[in-house]
Amino acid sequence: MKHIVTTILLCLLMSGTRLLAAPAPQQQDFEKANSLFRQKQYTEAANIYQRLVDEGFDQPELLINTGNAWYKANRTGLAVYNYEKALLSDPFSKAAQHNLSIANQRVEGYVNELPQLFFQQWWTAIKYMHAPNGWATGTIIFFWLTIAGGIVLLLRPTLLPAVVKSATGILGLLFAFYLFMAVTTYVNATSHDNGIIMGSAVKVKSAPDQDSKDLFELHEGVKVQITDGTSEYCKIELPDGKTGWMACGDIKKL
Amino acid sequence: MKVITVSIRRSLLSLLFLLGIVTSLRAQEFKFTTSVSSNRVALDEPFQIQFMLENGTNVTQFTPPNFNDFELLQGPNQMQGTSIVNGRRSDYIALIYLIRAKRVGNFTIPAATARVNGDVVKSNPVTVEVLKGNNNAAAQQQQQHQQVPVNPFAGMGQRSAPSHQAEEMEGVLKNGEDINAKLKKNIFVKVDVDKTSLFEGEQLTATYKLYTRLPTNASVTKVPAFKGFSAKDIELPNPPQASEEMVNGIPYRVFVIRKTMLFPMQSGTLELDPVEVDNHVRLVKLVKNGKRRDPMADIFNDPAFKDAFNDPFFDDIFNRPEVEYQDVPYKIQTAPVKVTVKPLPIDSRPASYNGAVGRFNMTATVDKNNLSTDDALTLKVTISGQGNVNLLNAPKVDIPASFDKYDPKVSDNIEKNSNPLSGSRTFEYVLMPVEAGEQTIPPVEFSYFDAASKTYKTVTSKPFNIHVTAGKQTKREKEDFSIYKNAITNNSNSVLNWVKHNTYFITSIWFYLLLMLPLLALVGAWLFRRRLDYQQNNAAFLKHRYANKVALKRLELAARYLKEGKDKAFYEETSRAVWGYLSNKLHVPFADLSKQLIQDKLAQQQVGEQYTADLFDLLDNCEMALYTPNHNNTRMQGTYQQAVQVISKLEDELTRAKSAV
Repeated sequence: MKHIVTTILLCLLMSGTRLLAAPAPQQQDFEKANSLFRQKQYTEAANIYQRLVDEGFDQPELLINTGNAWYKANRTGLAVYNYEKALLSDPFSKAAQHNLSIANQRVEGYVNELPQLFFQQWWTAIKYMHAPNGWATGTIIFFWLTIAGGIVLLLRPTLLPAVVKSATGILGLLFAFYLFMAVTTYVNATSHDNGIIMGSAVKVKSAPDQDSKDLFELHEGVKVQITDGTSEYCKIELPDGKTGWMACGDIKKL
Repeated sequence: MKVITVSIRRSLLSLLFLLGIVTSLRAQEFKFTTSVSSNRVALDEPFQIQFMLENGTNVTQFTPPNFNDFELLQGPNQMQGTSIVNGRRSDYIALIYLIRAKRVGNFTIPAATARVNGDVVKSNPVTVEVLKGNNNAAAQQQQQHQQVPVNPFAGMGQRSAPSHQAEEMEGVLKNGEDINAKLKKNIFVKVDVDKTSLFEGEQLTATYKLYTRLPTNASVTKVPAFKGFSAKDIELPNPPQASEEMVNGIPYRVFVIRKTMLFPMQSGTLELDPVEVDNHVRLVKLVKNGKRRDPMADIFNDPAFKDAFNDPFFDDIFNRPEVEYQDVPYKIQTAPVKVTVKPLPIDSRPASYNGAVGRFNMTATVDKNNLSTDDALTLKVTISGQGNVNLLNAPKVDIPASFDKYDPKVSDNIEKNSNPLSGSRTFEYVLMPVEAGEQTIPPVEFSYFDAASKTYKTVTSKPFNIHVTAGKQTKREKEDFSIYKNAITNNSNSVLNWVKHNTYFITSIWFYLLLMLPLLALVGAWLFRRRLDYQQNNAAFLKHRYANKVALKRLELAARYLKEGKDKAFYEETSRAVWGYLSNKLHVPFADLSKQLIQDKLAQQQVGEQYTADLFDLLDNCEMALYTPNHNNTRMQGTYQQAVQVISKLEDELTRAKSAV
C-alpha cells in the first residue's frame, strides 16, 4: 500500500518536472528563431517563425515576430502579411499597427486605407469582445438559461411570474445576439477575402485571361480585397476602388 | 638648299616680312637665285620654277623672264619667310610659277631681274631638258603633291592660301569653259559607309569625304544629325591630312570631313543625313590681251605700305597681267545614304540580354568575402570588348534581399579612336549586408549579340559566397529620428500558449447537441405541464364518463336481452343490475337490500331526492313489467335508457358526495 502511494507520487513528480523542463516543442522553435533573429540571421529565423504560423498558430506575438524577421530580411510582402494576420487576431495590438505602418512605407504604390468610423470601431470592439468560440459558448449558456426560465414558467407559474418572465425575455435576447455574433465572427474568421501581393511586380488585367489588357501594376506587399475568382484568376479590389483581375498565385490570402 | 618654309597666316606673314626687312637685312648676304623642280621634264608635264630673293632689302621691282617656249599654268605664288641655316638667319621672298613645256628640246630660261635697294640684280639662267611625254608624269605629279600638302581645311571656314600644283593646274579656267560644269566635275562630297545592311546595335562607320581637284576654302555648314542612331565621332587629325584617291582614273585629293561610328537604335530603313559644305573655289582666269602693269611699283610705292599686305589682291601683286583670280562660291551636299537595319532575332534571345551587340567579355569580382553588417562590399562587373560599349546597360544582378543595393556606378574606358569601337565599361554595385550568415550572390549573367555569327552569346560569372557576421549596427540607429519612430518594435520573447485557434465550436456537433438538449427539457416540461392541466381541468368529466361506463357495464346483459326481445329476462336483469350496483356502492349485502334501507343510505350520503325518486321509479317499472304479460319493445327501450341514466347519475352523485366528504 505504501509502495503504491510512493510510486504514484513519484510519477506525478516526474511528470510535473517534465512539464516544467520540456515546454511545448513550438516554444523551443520559437526561442530558436528568436535567438537567430538576435544574431541577425533574419531569413532563417523568419523561416522557422513562418513554419509555426503555417501550422496554424495565430498568437499575435508570434505573428509580429514573424513579420519583424521578414521585414529585416527585406521581404516586405511576407512582413505585411504577418502583421495583417496579427491584426486579424488582435486588432488593437499597438505593436502590429506600428510595424505594419512601417512595413507599408516600403510598399511601392501603397494605398492608405480609410480609418474606421466610430461605429465601425465599436463594431470591431464588440466583435473582438470574445473569440469566435467564446461567442458560441455564450450562445449555449444563454440558450440554457433561457430554456431554464421557460421551464420555471411552465412548471412553477406561481413563482414570481413577472420577474421570471422579464429575465427569460432578456436572456432570450442575449441568446439571439450571441448566436448572431457567433455566426458573424465565424464567417469573418473563415472567409479569406483579403490578400497580400507576393510577386514583386504583378500586372493587373482587365479580364481573367492572359491576353487581356494590362490595367495597372501592383507591387509586393499591397493589400487587396478578393471579390470574385476563377480557379486561376482572382478579381481584386483596392482600397481606392480600382478593380482588376490577376493570377491567384501572386496573392497570399490572409 | 635647306630651307624651312613657314606657312602662316597673312597678317602674321606680313608682320614677319616687315620685321625681316627692318631688323636683319644689313648684315646678311643678298642672293637672287632661280631653281626648277626638275631639269628633265616630260612634255605636258607641269613643273615649278622658283625665283628666290634672299635677304633682299627694299625690293621694288621684279620682272620674270620671258617663258617663250613654255606655257604659264599658274603663278606667281609668293612665299615669304625666314630660314635659319647653320645658325644664320635669312629672310627670303620666293616667287613660284608653274609652267609646262610647249616643245621637246633643250631650253634655257633666262634670268629674272629685280630692283633691290635701287640696284638692278639678275638671277642665274636655268637650262631645262624637255623629253617626250612619258607615263611617269602622273607619278611625278604625285610626288609633287606630297611635297606640298596644303589643306583647304587648315582653318575651317577661314581663307587659307591654297598652293597646290595639281589644283592650280585644274584651277585654270580656260576660255569658254563653263564654271559650273568644271566645279561639278572637280569638287564633290561623298559619304562612305562600310555596310548598308546590319543589325540593330551593330556598328556602322560613316565617312564623309571631300573630293577635290581645285584649290578651295571649304566650310561645313550643315552637320548630319544621325536620327535613329547613336553616334560617336572619331577624332580626325588636326590639321587634316589629305590623301589621294583615284575616281574613274582621275586622281582626287580627299579630305575626311567627318568620320563617325554609328549604332542604329531602331530597326527599319534609316537615312544618313547629308552633310553640306560651302566652298570658295579659286579659279585662275587667263586673260589673253590684258594691259600690262607693274604691280611691284603699285604696291611698294604705296604710302600705306603696310596695308597693302592685307589687300585681298595681295596674292596678285606679282601676277602676270594676263592672269586673274576668281573666287567662286560653291555649295555641295552628299547624296543621302539609306541603311537597312535588321531587328535582332527575338526567339533565341536570352532573358539577360539588354542591348549589347559586338564581341564582349565579362569579369565580375567582389572586393571582400568576409564582412560584417556594418560594412559594405563592392561588386565590380567589367564588360570589355568590341561593339556598342558606349551603350551598354548594366547587367541585371539578382542581389539577394539580404543586401541593400544601390544604383551601380558606371565608368567607361573607351580606347581613343578605336574603330570598331572597343573598350570597357565598369559597373560598381555597392552592397550593404543587412543580414548575418552565409550569403550567396548569384552568378552575374551578361548576354550579347554577336553580329558576325548572328547568335546570342552569354557570359556567366561564378557565384560569390559571402560570409556576413553581425555588426554592432550603431550606424543604423543613428539614422532614426527617434527611437521606435521609424524602427519596428522589438521581438517578443515571452512564453506563448501554443493553442491553435483553427477549430470552431460553432461547427462542431456538440454545439448543436447542446442546443438540442435544453429544447428536449423544455418539451418534456411542457408535456408534463399539459398532463397536469389535463388532470386538473377534466377530472369531473372523466368521472362522469366512468360512471356511465359502470352503468353500461352493469347493464351489459340487459342490453343483450333487449336486443333479443326477451322482455322477462330483460326486466329481471335490469332489476338485478340496479340492485347489484346499489349493493356494491352502498356496501350493503345483496340479501339485506330494501327500498327503505337504500333510501336511508342515499340520504345519508346526501344524494338528491329526485335521484332517489328516479331510482325507485325505475325499480317499480321493472317489477311492474315482470308481472304484466304485455310485450312492448318500446317500453323496454325506455326502461333501459332510464336504467343507464339512473346509474350514471347515482354514480356521479356518490363520487361527488364522497369527494365532498
